[in-house]
Amino acid sequence: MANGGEKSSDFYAVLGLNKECTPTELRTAYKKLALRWHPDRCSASGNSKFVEEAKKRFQAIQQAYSVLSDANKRFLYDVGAYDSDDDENGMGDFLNEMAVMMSQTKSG
Amino acid sequence: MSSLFLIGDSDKKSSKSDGSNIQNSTFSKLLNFAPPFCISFHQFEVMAEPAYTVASDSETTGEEKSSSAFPEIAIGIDIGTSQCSVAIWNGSQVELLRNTRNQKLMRSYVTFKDEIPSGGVSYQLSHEHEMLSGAAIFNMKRLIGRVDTDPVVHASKSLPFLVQTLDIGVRPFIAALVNNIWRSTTPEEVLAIYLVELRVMAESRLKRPIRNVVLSIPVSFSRFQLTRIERACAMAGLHVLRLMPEPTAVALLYAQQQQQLIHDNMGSGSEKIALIFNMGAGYCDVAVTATAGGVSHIKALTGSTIGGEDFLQNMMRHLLPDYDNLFSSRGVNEIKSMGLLRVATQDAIHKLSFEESVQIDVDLGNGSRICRKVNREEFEEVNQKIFEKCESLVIQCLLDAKVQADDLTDVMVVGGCSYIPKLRNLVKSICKRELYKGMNPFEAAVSGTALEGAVASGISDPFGNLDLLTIQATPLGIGIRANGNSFVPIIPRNTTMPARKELVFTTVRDNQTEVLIVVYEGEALKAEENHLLGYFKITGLPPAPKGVPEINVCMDIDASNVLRVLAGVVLPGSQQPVVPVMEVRMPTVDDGHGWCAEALHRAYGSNLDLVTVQKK
Repeated sequence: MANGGEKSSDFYAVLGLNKECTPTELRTAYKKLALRWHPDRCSASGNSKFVEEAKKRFQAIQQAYSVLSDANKRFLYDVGAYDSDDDENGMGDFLNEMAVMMSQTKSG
Repeated sequence: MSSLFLIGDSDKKSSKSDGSNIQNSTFSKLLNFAPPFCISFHQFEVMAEPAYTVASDSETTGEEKSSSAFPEIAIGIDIGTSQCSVAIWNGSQVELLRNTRNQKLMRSYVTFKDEIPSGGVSYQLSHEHEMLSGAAIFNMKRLIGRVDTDPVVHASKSLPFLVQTLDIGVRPFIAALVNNIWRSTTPEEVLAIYLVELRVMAESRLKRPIRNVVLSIPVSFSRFQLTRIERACAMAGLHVLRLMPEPTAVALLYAQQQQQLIHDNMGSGSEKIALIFNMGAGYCDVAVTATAGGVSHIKALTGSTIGGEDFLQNMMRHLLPDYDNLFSSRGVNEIKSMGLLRVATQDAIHKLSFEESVQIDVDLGNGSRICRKVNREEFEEVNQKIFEKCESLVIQCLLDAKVQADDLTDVMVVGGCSYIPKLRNLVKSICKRELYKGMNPFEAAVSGTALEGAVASGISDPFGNLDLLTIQATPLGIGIRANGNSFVPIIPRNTTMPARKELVFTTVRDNQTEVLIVVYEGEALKAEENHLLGYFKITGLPPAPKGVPEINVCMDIDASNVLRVLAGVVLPGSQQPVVPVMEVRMPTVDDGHGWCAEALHRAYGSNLDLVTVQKK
């Protein structure tokens, strides 16, 4: 269960990149997509449905970037051990989180 | 025709200042207030209508314009504790608007002399001391949205107008001395009068009605304080498009400048990390931003209520150790002496930024006279604590942003205090860098708000000068009271906005059928030491052993910074919520909110408590 279809979305695909991309490519892609999908850039259209859609897109972009821009999280994600639920609270320190995740991978 | 018209258009996209009834009450209050304090703007207005009554006609004009091919460009306003400015994107660049006296920076005060309020936009003081006679109210930004137990309000008691506290957690009583009568007002009303002057000034410069604005605000403002700013804007007939933390406005200007550089000489497009230190008369804010391709990504924000006003008060007490005693009784003579000392001290502090020592000679008119030399070291020693606080804000911000001093590309010091040598040095030494020279420290924030105004209004520039974006972060954590009296953040500080996060809680008692969700904003571990934003109850939980029901609390902040709190209950083994999900727009609290949490506790004890669910 550790590896299967645990993620509904592929973070690399969200950013339009492949797995081998460099941190600079990652950053560039994120900023380009943000410029396009951040609700602030779309709100003036006055179309509230579109703004809502933009908000969802941007949040997906933001989540993908926040994981992939962190070398440790990206490593975990690449090996299929990244659990966004643990990250969501943003509280636990990283070592702790890593230990938990590693034990999960082993058992899985 | 143009009778009292509520500004909050409830059916429209983002009527941010929720609840027209709130505005309604403000309006009726203003009406009571209006006859003696009728504003003298008639020379600008087509009709001699009271400036507060936002005419429905001007509103519709704004509406039509925004739907036409030429959308209305929102103006940017920097409301400073001591000075204000207005700027707009003029089609090719940011331009600061000047008042009839050709000033770009205008003093922030409203004087109630002769029962007609007039503010620093239109009014020329006959002398500096006129502002300190008791008739003028200033430092609104320090007072707005604070209760009378707040230390900042207590410190404001030394201002030369009436700030009275009852120390019970309600709004302080503020009054101006008009013909020897203390006439009450509120910071919102004073700010609204001032904003009306700014609006009228901008309208006469731009020859069109102004409705949409982007305002800069201190990082440390609570959401409750933001509602007060929005209320003041609404009273002045302005619709708030965005409230931007001051250093993030500076960050946007920086992003634009970096784009321009690339445009001009093919400079490098690599990501630049900048630290912005912004200190004015009332507040000190720091931000770290990562900029590339016109996008300013705010990594971290810190801020505190310290500023030039504190430097000034510390110095006044230093020069006159008996200060508090002398001015405890607030007669007309005391106010006059206080004003004289204030002017002399302010002047000295200003000079000490450029000179090593300065001679002070001031006759306070009450038999005491201060005649002595003050040097820069003395000033720095007296304000040691403030400088230390500034240092800790910068260090904290770097830490929060997970950035080392060596990672920084540029460091800027802006705001009214930016010429104080000690401040410049401390920022330079922590950041190990010379300061950025590319922006005017007094105009940076307002220029950033004007850029945001253009971007948020959907204006595009053929040369790509407006291909800009600020990705904001939350300046304060938002969470609920749980696990006894703890504050459990759901959206932590420095989370990228828009944001949506949730956390699961459960009951503390068997067969607990109700839970109380009390929402706070802040950083303190104890719930009640944070800002209360609101509260609501979820009822009708089916009887179950404690720890079984899953209470999901979700917080959602959209791009315009509107906060919604959603709460739902599920029982294990079921996906369906057992009661309808609650959705509450926050903040919901009004004045005297300090009381509410205590009253709730008295009424319910821990009967409706929650605890966090431990991860398996």
